[in-house]
Amino acid sequence: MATGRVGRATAGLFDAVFRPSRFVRAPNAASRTSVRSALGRVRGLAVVFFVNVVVYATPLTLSGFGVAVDTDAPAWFVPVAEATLGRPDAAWWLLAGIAQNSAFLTVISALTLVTYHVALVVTRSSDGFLLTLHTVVYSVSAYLAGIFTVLVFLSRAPGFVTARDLVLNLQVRFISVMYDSFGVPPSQRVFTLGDPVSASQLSSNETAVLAVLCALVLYFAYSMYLGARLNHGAGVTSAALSLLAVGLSPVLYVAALLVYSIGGTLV
Amino acid sequence: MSQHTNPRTEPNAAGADTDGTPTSSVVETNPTLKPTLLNLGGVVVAGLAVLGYLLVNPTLLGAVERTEIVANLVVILTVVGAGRLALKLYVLTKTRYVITPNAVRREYSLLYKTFSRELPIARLRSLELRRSRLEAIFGIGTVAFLSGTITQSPGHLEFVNVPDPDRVRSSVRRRLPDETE
Repeated sequence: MATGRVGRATAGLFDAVFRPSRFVRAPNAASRTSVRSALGRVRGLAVVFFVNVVVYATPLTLSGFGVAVDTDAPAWFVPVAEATLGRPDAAWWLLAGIAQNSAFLTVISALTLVTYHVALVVTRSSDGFLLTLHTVVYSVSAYLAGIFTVLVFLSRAPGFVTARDLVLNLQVRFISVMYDSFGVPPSQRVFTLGDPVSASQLSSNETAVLAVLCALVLYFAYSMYLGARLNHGAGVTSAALSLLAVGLSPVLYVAALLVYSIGGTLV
Repeated sequence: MSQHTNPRTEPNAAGADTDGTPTSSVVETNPTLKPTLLNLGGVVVAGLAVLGYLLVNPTLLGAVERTEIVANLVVILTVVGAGRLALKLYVLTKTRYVITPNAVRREYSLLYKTFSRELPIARLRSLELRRSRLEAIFGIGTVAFLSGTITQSPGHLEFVNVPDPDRVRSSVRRRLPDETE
């Protein structure tokens, strides 16, 4: 019912928190549409994804996070930037930073899209790629971006050292399992498992932030489950299997990185 | 809280049809709040029970801080769940279901804004009556009206938690063109 961009954004935020089913449900969900209509919907979803990625990455970039661009704006960019944005070097720094900060989110989103849709196709629950795209775009834009925002906050905030170490330790533990699975020799391992981090050192603020992180993970998983159930009409088992496939996305991502970078093979 | 527990007939109540011409309503009713209130109570009680259990047993998950994380998570989920149901409750108190000789209409006001959706009876393709276990216990139900082919399209309207749903459905059914039935 909300009209206007601000109204729709507010309603979307409200739905993301209080009504995930309404948030991920594809409006006028029809499995068969014309090519023109399908392209229109892809374009609309691409805009939603792009806007959300920019909203996610811009504050990070402006705060200097993850920006490693020291070069001046390239020649082809200067006249375009001067005509539209003003200072070419600053605009180039900003755009390159946004691209860098959103790269991981974009890669994980693409991987999630593929694994999720393959799982739906394999379980014969898919009602069309557009519905999968809709589910992934909305889930990733809200909840996965939220998860990444909390992780970035933990990596930078001064009073959250234990929480940061705990999350890092968990990630390194996961990568170590992958190292072992692929038989990567210790000399070639980039990450080494340090001493376990004791949860007893967590402050109240840290436990609160970690609870928010857990809530966002639950929201993300639930939204993907709802996407399969509501948009594709999948059964409980198929939806759960699709969710499992999404859970395997990080495994595939790290496995691909290991194979690419070290030439590891599964042992 | 001004809500009606039974559908009432108001032959002389003023209304407006889809084309804007004034018509009188055949049935005018409000949704009952009982299932939502029960759900709200259930969420709050369950949340508090789990939270209480965690606070009484702080080492349940090993370190106290680990239990604290879960307790915080329970608080977040309880607040979100209760907030959602509280809002639904508020909207339901402001909702009115109206059947006129030519249309079915759901209308509610929220934060000084009024929303109204109406489907012409002549264009209805199907009528659906659903009753969850909870709705059956309270003698209420959900009547769905569909004028399109997609349940989430604008051609879909639901009277949720409506008292005496059989009467609502039959009231509309009597006015359907023959081929619809």
